[in-house]
Amino acid sequence: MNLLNNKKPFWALAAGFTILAILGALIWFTYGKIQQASAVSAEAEGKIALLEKKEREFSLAESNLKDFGPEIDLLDGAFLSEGTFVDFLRLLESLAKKTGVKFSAQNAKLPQSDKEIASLNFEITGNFRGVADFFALLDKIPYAGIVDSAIISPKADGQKRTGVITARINYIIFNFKI
Amino acid sequence: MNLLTPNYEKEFRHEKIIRVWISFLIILIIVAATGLVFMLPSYFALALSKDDILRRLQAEEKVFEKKEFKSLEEKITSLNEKIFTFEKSEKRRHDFAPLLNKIAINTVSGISLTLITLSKNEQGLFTFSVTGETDARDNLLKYIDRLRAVKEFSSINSPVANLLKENKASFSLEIKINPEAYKYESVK
Repeated sequence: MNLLNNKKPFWALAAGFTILAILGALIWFTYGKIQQASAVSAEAEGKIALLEKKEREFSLAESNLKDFGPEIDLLDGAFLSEGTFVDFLRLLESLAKKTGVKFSAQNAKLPQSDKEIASLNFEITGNFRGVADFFALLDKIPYAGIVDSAIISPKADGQKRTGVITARINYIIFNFKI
Repeated sequence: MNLLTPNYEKEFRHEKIIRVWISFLIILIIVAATGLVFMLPSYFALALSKDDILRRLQAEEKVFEKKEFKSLEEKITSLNEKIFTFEKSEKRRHDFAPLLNKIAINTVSGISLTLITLSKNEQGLFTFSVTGETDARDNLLKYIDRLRAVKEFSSINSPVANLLKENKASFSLEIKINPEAYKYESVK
């Protein structure tokens, strides 16, 4: 046997390298495909998780909205609109009744745009205690606002003082929905 | 003891190196093939589950759209805006009754108030203008001192004309209200 003429090892090496190259290519291709599929799956799973989280949060918010229904109604009630303005007048009338003063609304200004403010001019007449009590209750009404101007003077009957005072008030209402 | 002749010794070493190479290649091929075999199930599992996951995503999206979360989102947004406005308005709110009471309860005997006016300047700062009558100058001075001690009032302005008469005099005072106690803040 002539060892020098033996070409088998060369062919074996060549075949080995070829097989290795084919295997390498297959591994590279499979790895690429796995990576691609894995990225798509991960993105989709991330989106699903986000949607599920949002769904859970919305369900929680929905149940919270139901639970806080009475408070939300109170909050809605703290805002006046043209339709509910009469409720505000009724409230002031009831305050006047409680404190024993006479209430009379003089003028109301309702805003037509966000830049304008709602206000009510009214007059109350009664003794000082009653007027002071009326203001104390006015400070606590659910419709937030402020006494913008006031003129408080005694109601005179000729030269005699009657102990009755009149207050002309301009009240600005902050929470007004157009 | 080496039985090979020197000229075959070189050939024999060459043959040995080739065999080592072939063995190394075989090992590499086995390792690569094993790797490929182990990778294939992952590939098939991912390829098959990918469509399934995408279908699940589509279904979730449809469910999400159907549940009308948009309107709920709008409702929550409007509610939050309302809460924000409400809180802002509550912060702008100031009590008027305590200020009026401070003017009234600090009067001393012999002083009667005839007119109290509340007005505001361009900066939203309020001032009380108080007019009245006093039977004695000292009573007015006492009243002014009492008003100056009220922390809700930042300054009391009493014109000299108030003090010209010793008895039975009319007076007018300008009481500036401390902005922390009462101020109108316009919406920005």
